[in-house]
Amino acid sequence: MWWRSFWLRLRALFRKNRVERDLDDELRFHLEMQIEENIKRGMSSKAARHLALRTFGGIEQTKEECRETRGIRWLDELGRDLGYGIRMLRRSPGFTAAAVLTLALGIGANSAIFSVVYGVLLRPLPYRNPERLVALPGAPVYLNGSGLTPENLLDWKDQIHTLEQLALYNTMVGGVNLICAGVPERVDVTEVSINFFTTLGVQPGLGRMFLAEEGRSGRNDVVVVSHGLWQRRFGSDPNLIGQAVSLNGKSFTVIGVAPEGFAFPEGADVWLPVAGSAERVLRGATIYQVIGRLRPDASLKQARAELAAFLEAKVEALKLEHPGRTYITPTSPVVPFQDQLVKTVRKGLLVLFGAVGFVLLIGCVNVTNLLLARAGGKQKEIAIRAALGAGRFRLVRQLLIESLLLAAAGCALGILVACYGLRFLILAAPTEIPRLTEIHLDIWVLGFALGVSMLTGILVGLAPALHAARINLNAAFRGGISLGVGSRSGSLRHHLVVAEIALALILMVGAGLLIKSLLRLVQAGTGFNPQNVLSMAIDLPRSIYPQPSQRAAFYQRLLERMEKLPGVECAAATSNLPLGKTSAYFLVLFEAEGKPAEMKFSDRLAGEFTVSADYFRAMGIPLLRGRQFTQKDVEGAAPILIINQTMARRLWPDEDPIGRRLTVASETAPREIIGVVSDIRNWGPEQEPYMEIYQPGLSFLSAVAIRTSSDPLALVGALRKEVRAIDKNLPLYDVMTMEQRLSKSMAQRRFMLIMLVFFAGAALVLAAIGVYGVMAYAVNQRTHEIGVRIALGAQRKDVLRLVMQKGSILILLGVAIGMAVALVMTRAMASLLYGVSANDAETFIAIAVSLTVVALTAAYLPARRATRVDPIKALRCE
Amino acid sequence: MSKANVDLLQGTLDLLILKTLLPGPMHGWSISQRIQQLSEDVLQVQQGSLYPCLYRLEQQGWVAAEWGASENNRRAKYYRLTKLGRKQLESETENWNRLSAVVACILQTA
Repeated sequence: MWWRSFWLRLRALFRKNRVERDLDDELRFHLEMQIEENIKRGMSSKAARHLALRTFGGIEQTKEECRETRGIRWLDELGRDLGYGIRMLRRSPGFTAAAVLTLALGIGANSAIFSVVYGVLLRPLPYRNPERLVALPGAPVYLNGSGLTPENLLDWKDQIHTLEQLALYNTMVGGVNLICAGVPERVDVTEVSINFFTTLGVQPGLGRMFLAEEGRSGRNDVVVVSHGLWQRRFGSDPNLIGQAVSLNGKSFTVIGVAPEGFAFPEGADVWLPVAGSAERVLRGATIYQVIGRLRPDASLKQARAELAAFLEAKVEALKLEHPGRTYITPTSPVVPFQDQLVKTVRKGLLVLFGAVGFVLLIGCVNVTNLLLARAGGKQKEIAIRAALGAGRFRLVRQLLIESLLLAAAGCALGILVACYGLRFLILAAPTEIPRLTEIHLDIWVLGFALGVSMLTGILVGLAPALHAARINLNAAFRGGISLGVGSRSGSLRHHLVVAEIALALILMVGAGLLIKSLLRLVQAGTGFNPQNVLSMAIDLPRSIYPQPSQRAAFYQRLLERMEKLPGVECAAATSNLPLGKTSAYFLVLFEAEGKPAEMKFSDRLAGEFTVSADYFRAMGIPLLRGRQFTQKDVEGAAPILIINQTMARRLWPDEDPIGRRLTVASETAPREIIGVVSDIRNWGPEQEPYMEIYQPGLSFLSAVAIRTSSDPLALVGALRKEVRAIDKNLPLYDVMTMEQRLSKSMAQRRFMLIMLVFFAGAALVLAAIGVYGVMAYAVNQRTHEIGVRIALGAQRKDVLRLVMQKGSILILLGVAIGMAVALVMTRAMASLLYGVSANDAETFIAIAVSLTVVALTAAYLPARRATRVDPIKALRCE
Repeated sequence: MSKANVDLLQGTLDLLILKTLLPGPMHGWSISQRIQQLSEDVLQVQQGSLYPCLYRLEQQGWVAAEWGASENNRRAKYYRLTKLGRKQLESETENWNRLSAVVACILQTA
């Protein structure tokens, strides 16, 4: 009966004293009876006792065997080992503190980064059946713009059978003015197709989601607000449903509130249904993203195949309509949604995760070395245990328990480190990281921390434990200098140091490459001069400024007033501001006079800017040829153009483009090219320049740039005043200097760099400590030998050379191995680099040299101590 | 037959203990005395090895233990046969008889 045995075992565990006493009593009773019997047979009491004990056999042994049958012996032993381990660790607080701290930092950092990796990359999205969600990257741009649009969304959905839902959303979350009960506020709005929420599987928190008919123009004046906005702005008013709000002057009815925590796309506060080509509330180009939901019985592969075939068919049809045109079809039309979402940060996060893993490994090496050194000093104790009958397995187990205890303490402390570290990470991280709000310490992270700690404990303790258990009994008892033991554990320690140095080198090379990338980026610049330029976006609501002439008048007045302000060198306005919220420009088709109409499609697209007269001066964009716009050009909307250098080179490589004519988009009359300006990088230094054209005009502008003679931020107040003087209801938004914008655009890259540099620095410090420790230990072991040598006449430099020899070889070996491995491993991060090859010689050499110098210094310090050994003292301590 | 200290296998010691307990509960010492008696002093069981055996039998549920007063009013642990133990005794006895019969058969014919 198993339960009986279980009950007995439990009893043995918890009422141990009682059980022991019972056993004691029982055996004593037996002996007493036997003694009585013997006395009855005529022996003396002493003889009776002796005989009784002899016939009984070993009492203690019997007791042990009884205890064994209880089957909880191993638990008993474990408890004893644990107690012993804790006592041992308490006895050497310095060692324990060093080991625990090293492990805690390593485990903590790993757990923190894992939280991020898990929260962003691994955790399933918080929607219904998220694995069935797919994205169609670039769908609206398929087929040269004849692709997916809000109008034909339903048609496409009906024709594609593997998808049961197809929805659009606009990633350009733009700001609009929300006015409710007379109070204005800027909110972030995104346009979505009406089945957006149903595709994601999101239920409304309050009210309802969009209906089918609300997708049509004229009926689409409804909005859904976010939970956050509902709380913040409307005070969680349950009667909000059905109320009217004004967005950029147009009236909308609130029909629902999104559930708490839902804010997709990032930062959206208000969702409104897109209604085709009807009046749109948002300005600027629309970049629609398409998501879909697979049918329950369809697989991703099937969807991919179907969509490819579908697009093929469409291309054929279009080719018949417009022969000679080329069409863009994507290579992978359907991808899992989560992949698409985190695409931009996946590589970077994985690199960081690898880097922090390296740091933990290096920390482990240090702790292993500490344990090895300690095991060396424990030989006598271990020998005694072995002599007393402890099996090899038991010995190893006892030593492993110590290292597991260290790891457990490291885990506990590490989780604390991870808590604070994560908080800091989330605060410091650039907001562009997707799913940033979903990162927190949860059961998975704790599990990870525990798992890593256990592995660490075993990893760190195994070698020293196995090594210590191999102690030669005789040698240990003979005492004296344990050369035998030292040299064997010494070679293990040496291997570990080489490994440490190699790992540190790899990390440092990675960081170095990223640093160089960032420098190259900064060098590449953006094509315009961002210094001392204040910029902001302005949104003129159509309802208040319906006529283009009114809008032109507004900007005219604004620019005039601003140029009069002291401290302003020149002011300009543009339709699209680089690096800003309005940076997305329209791509327009153009026909160049004299160029064949059969030119490749992609060669006939250019980005279109509309700018005021002083734009190039304000932005510091050099004019290369021809002339700039004049005030008259701008006011009269003259049919002229300025093109950028890329365009000039592409279309007229050997000729002067000035005077040539282009017909742009749907305009009837061609425009004349009057100037060529230098390229800019509209979305940041990492971008390759596109072909761009600039038209003069004041009516379709959305941003203002002002070049100031000193600190731009000082003029923000004055700027607001001027704007309000013209229209007091118009808020400014996205007010920043161009330098701030530039910095923000590189925020993600910079953040990753800081993290990697931090880890590389930690790795360097740990490796240096490791080298120092091993060297110091070696010197310690050889004190006697050194004393003898000095007594025999060795010079200081001879001793130095002797001691440093082994160390230098190890360091150089480590660097060499590290370089070789790094040459291979950095290829994995090639996509994160800019302007630097993954095997950049300069970086590799610089890092190798610096690491060697640091490591040699770390080795030199204890070596120097060796030269100062007093031979008499050394010889005396045998 | 000379007195021999036979090292008994565990299984057989179990059987002997169970048999000894058949008439009624006994404490450890009287069990060892009885075994000695019944075997006419041939089997000198190492008295110490009795107890681990008894503990194991208790774990397996073949005997149950109780503290009680001995003949001379001392505290002693009494073991008695359980129903399960009785069943086990029967089946083991049968096995043992069968085994010894076969061994005897083989020895005779060889």
